[in-house]
Amino acid sequence: MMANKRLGLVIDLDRCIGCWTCATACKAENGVALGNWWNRILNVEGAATGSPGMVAGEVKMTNLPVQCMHCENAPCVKACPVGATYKREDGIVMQDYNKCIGCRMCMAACPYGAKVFNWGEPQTGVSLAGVKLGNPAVPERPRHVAEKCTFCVERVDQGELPACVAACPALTRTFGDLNDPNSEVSILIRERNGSQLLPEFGTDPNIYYLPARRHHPIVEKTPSYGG
Amino acid sequence: MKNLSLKGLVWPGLLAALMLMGVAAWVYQYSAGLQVTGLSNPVSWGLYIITFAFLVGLSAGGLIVSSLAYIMKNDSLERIAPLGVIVAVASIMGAMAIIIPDVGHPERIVNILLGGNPSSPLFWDIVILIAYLAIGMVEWWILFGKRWRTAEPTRKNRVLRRLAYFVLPLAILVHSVTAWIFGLQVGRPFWFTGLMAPIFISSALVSGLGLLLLVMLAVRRSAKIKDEQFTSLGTLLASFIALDAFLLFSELMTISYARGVDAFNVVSELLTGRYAPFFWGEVLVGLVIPFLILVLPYTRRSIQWIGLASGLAMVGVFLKRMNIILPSFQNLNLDYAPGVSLGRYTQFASPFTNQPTYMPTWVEIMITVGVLAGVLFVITLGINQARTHLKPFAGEARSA
Amino acid sequence: MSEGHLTNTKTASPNLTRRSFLKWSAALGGAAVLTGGLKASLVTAGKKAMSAPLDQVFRSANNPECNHCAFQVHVRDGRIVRLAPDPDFYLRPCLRGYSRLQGLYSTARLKYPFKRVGERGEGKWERISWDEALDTVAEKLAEARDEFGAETVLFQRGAVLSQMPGAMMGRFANVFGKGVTTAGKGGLCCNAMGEASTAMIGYRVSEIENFAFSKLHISWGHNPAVSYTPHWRYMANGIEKGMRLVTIDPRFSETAAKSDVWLAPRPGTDTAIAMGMIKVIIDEKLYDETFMLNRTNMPFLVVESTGKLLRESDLVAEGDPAIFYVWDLATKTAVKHTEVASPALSGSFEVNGLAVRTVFSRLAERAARYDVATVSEISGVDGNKIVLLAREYAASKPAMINSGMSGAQRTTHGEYFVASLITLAALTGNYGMAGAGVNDTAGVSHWPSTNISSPFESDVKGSIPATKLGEYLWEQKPYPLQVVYWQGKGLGQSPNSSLVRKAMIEKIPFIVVQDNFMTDAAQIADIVLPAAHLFERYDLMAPSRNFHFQIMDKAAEPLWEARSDTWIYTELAKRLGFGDQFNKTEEEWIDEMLVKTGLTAQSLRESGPVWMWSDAKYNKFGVKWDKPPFYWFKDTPFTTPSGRIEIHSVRWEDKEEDPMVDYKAAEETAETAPELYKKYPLALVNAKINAFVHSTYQQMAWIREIFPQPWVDIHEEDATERGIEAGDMVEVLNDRGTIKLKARVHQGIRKGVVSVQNGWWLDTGGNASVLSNDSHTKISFGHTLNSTLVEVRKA
Ligand SMILES: Nc1nc2c(c(=O)[nH]1)N[C@H]1C(S)=C(S)[C@@H](COP(=O)(O)OP(=O)(O)OC[C@H]3O[C@@H](n4cnc5c(=O)[nH]c(N)nc54)[C@H](O)[C@@H]3O)O[C@H]1N2
Ligand SMILES: Nc1nc2c(c(=O)[nH]1)N[C@H]1C(S)=C(S)[C@@H](COP(=O)(O)OP(=O)(O)OC[C@H]3O[C@@H](n4cnc5c(=O)[nH]c(N)nc54)[C@H](O)[C@@H]3O)O[C@H]1N2
Ligand code: SF4
Ligand code: SF4
Ligand code: SF4
Ligand code: SF4
Ligand code: SF4
Ligand SMILES: [Mo]
Repeated sequence: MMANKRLGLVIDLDRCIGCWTCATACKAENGVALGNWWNRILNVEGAATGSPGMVAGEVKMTNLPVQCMHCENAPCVKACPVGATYKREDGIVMQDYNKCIGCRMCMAACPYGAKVFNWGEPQTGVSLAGVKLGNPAVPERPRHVAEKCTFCVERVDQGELPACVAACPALTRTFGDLNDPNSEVSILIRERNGSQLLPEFGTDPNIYYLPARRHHPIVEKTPSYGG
Repeated sequence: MKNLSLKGLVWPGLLAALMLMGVAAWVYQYSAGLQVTGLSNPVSWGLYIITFAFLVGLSAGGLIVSSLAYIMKNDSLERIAPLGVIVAVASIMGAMAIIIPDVGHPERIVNILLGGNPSSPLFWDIVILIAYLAIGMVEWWILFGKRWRTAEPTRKNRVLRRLAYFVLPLAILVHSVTAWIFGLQVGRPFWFTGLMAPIFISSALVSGLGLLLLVMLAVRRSAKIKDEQFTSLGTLLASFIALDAFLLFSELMTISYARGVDAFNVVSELLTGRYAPFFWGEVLVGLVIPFLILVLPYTRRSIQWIGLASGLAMVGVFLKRMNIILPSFQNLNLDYAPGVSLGRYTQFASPFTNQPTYMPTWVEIMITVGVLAGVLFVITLGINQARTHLKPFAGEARSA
Repeated sequence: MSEGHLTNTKTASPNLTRRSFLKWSAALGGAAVLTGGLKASLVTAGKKAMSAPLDQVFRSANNPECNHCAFQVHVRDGRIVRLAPDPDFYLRPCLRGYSRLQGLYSTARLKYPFKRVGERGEGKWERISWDEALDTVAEKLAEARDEFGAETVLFQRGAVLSQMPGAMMGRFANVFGKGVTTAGKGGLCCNAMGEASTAMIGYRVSEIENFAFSKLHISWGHNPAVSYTPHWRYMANGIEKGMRLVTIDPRFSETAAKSDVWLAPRPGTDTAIAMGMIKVIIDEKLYDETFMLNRTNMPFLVVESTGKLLRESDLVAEGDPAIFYVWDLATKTAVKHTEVASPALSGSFEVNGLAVRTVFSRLAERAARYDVATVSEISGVDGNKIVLLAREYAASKPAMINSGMSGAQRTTHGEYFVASLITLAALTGNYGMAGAGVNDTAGVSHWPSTNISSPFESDVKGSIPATKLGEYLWEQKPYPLQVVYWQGKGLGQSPNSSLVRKAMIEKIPFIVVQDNFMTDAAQIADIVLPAAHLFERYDLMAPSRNFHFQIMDKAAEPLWEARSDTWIYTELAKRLGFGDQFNKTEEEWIDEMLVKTGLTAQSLRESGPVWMWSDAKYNKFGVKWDKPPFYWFKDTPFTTPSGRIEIHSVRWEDKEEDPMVDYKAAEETAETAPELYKKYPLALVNAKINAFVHSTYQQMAWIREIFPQPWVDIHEEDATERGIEAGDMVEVLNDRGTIKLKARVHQGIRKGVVSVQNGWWLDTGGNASVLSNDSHTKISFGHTLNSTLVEVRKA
């Protein structure tokens, strides 16, 4: 019935405890250099990671994980002069490190600050020659190219979950096909009124956030072990 | 030759030295990597791109004025039209040159022409810049080339006039596309405005004509340019400035009026925030003062004052480029802590920021100065050509 | 406002525009939906083993005192290159676990044995061979033992909870000295929790896997969102099902941020809050009488004159002191607790001329003192909210109180804080069902281990109170120590750490430190021994902070010249002439420890993590549960003398301690130390943070990108009073020392309280223990770092 896949991620802000495991697992899996992060956890109210802040007379600390949104209508893809940033059939916004001329047009275009750049030779913090950490399928990046979250395309193409999804200890992240109305992601978005980040830019992100929820009628149901 | 005197060599020598310094700085940057610039993930464009936009503006301005001269068949203007061509060609070369140190992989720039992305304003900008440079060279050649030296001035002008019909729209286009590099970015609220191209054009006219006037000043004896010409072009400059000021105002007014919009974050940065000094500097130095100079009865007739006004106007436009480009980078749409990673690593220091800053390093400054020196060098070259091949310059040469 | 609300405002706004986000994030509404099932299938999706053809995959687990998450360790060309959650394990590792990957290759790792050449702590080292290192250490050890006695050698080890390093050090010390010294009296962690649990219910329990079954969860002096990250999934599941979450913490912790209610008491006053709740529950008869009569000793009779339980031995000669009496309403006589028909819960009676009263009546009498006004006065929390909380707690069964090995029990009278929680649960019958009880930690050792660490009698002669290490070393109590053998422990983790450091440097002739990194302890050593990283050796993770047996396989050879702890002790033993006591391989030692369970290193390698309750052989109780939920004290007994929950504790009665819960003001408060309070008017609390487990992970580059430097949290008003602004460098000080760090100014902490973090090494300048109170909890010699006064001033 529906055309091709539209891979997307649902992040449940009710479950997220801002532990940065997803961000660190991402770094480990994709060999992201020191100083660069493809995934980071913003603290909406506080002035620093782990700092509370005030909203409307209430102390709060809301965790907002942010990575490439894999926008359907991606400004970075439109802006790249050489098509080094491009969109796959399944919605993943990709980066071609061999084409990239390092002009950083895409960084100017991205509303979410999702792209990072290797301003020098990538530093890995590995004091032993010839050791490459992470997924062997992930290409190493030279200096002076842009990079960003790839939805762990190397894993997804193997039918695995993105590293951050597999790593999240609180099971905050659900990955799946947004075009399939019966997928976990679609159901979650429908029933928990999921929403996109910065929709005013019309980028139509493939990442949805579920709001925190409290005080709903108590539902008697015991989760399965590990659930 | 007379103008090969030692005295005559000081100026080009100085420029050549600055250019060499720039090249040296670039070689260093190339080996050490862009990490020696003040750029970072959040502020990923800086002095280079500001200068790029400024130079494209200069050249567009120069060519627009000269083409207008031919199209309007204005005799007195036609006499200085060649200077417009010189300015345009020199600036556009500078603009293209400064892209090279900015991009991470200059060796791959050809990719743009091989597999360009038609939806990218940057792609089109490169294409049009090349076309634009080409046509500028053609004019240069027609003006100073051997083959045309013997040609009848009237015939020469007829050709130039025909060309002008292409050059004028191209000049406007080249700068509009440059403006759209910014103006089409929905993710940068302050850039994302239909006025971006008009604003770029208006300030291009200001800076272009400003430079033209300064060049005229430099050659006015040899070129036998009458003071009235300065005054009339000065008046033209004043009206360009007025137009520029008007567009700027209507843009800022619209945003400040709404306030609620994201672009207001940047606007308030300009009016009252970190960028206030630069913005009000731009208004004063670039608009108010030169405008007054150019309209007040006494100063508008003094070529020295007009020269000063032109210089100030150019400085103003440079500030304007900066004020358009930088604050948008320094205001993150998601400015929650800890912000975005910088792309820089220092042990036991946070690589994140939600209030990005930018300060060009010496390397950036040296490279930029080098490029600007290059622009002046080409202009100097052009003027020498004019001296030797053009009336009334030629006349002077003979009388020597 | 330093307190949360018992009611919530909520409006859900559909999208996260930049301007609407804050409003949106404030929203607490939204329709209920069951994602439990979805999450489960997400886990199955995760179970798919990772396809990385090039890599060999080994099983391991993370070994600090934490949740012991299982890992898949990927090896490529003999190098460890990738970590992944073990799909056969119920938990997923946290960021710290992943950071070990870079940590393995970190420049900060100890790569070779070193010998000090400069002054102690000066950081001047000379690389030496293993032979030279081992010969020197063996020599010094022998010298000390033969000239001054084995008791002048201190063996000190930290919270490394995998079995081998501890067992091997234990065995080595035992065989070497047959009477050395340790800092083993009490501890730094959870002695109050352990003591009170033993005294009242018989042993320590963990309810953590049952979080999701509770209707109400009170996180009391505890911050599981950080300290039990991997278990949060159960908390989140509970919240999804409508479980209410209440957090009691002077600090707006990561857990408070997830809560429906946040109450911010003055540190050390939690017992008063609990007493207030007990009063409400008793006054309003919200208690579970049947449970109290049958499973607790609340009906037991106490002799008024002695305040002790009436025992058979009080009535008849040669009577059994383990037989207690209750008042039988039918016969109006005192009868043995084992034989009673209809026992009285409350009342005063006379038995053989002895005036007696039930434990419950005595409890009620104590509780009566804690009316709303008094409780508000003591704790600083609005007493009416406490009344509401008491009612909600009694009304929502199962309700769990989660105190973990909490910060609140690291206070002067920590034992009574824990006692108050157990009493609350006992009153409301919150035992013997899933989602109830008082959670201690994530797991405890109830497995039938075979002790390999003491082949000979007592391996300990002198025993220094763990919290008084500094004082004892400085004053050379109980012996003038000659050698300190320091394995895997942060120097800055003991209270009054600058004194510990000073004493070590000035009073200890020879220090050897054995660790993975150049820790703050290693920095002052004479010989530094590079221990192999946990992925570079064989080890066993047996139930302690979770309920699983896990193999920690050797995935690769130790890098550089690092060697496993076992190898080091074996080599030293050879040199000291008892190599025959170290005649096994690591895997053989593991098999020996496991003998009673029938498990082996190899079986675990094949099966993956084994749940301790899945077979009667795997646990001391001989019980079997196929899967959670499991019910503590339904199938397992209370192993107290009376076999009941002892609200009046026999153990404490015998120790001549107050046998029943009551609030006692902590040390270093306005009441108990007015002079000190004038000088240092701010209460200091410590917080575990996501960056570290104690001092471990200090050098991990990835972690320090997120947590670059230590900081102090201070309330806006306290900051303004001191002219401190956010981001200022400030000094936090008391008579024990001064630390320098950045100020974080907000309203997420109770006024009058400041907070620093656990774990920063001494050399960061932000080590919290410099300030920590080095007294100890009164009954069990536990840590009292959260009963500390300080002042803060601009640096
Ligand atoms: N990330 C991480 N996780 C860990 C550890 C770690 O170091 N890092 N350590 C592990 C170990 S060994 C342990 S013991 C557990 C400890 O687990 P937790 O008990 O969660 O650890 P703490 O952070 O010490 O204390 C929790 C809270 O107690 C609060 N507190 C302090 N004093 C008082 C008081 O008087 N009353 C009340 N109501 N609250 C108070 C503090 O503000 C703090 O937020 O965590 C384990 N897990
Ligand atoms: N200020 C303050 N102090 C505290 C606390 C607090 O909250 N605040 N919390 C207290 C609590 S609850 C506890 S439990 C204690 C724990 O404090 P410690 O017992 O000191 O535990 P760690 O600091 O984790 O020290 C573990 C050390 O072992 C090393 N290590 C890891 N694996 C191995 C190995 O295989 N071999 C060897 N040889 N070394 C290894 C690590 O590198 C690390 O240096 O701290 C207490 N101290
Ligand atoms: S790992 Fe999960 S819980 Fe932790 S920050 Fe990421 S999304 Fe949130
Ligand atoms: S988030 Fe940024 S980088 Fe990712 S697709 Fe959208 S615009 Fe491109
Ligand atoms: S930096 Fe690379 S990816 Fe980004 S726009 Fe330029 S060429 Fe495209
Ligand atoms: S999807 Fe993969 S690349 Fe993207 S943030 Fe998660 S882990 Fe990183
Ligand atoms: S640090 Fe604790 S939570 Fe994190 S991986 Fe290790 S054991 Fe698990
Ligand atoms: Mo602990």
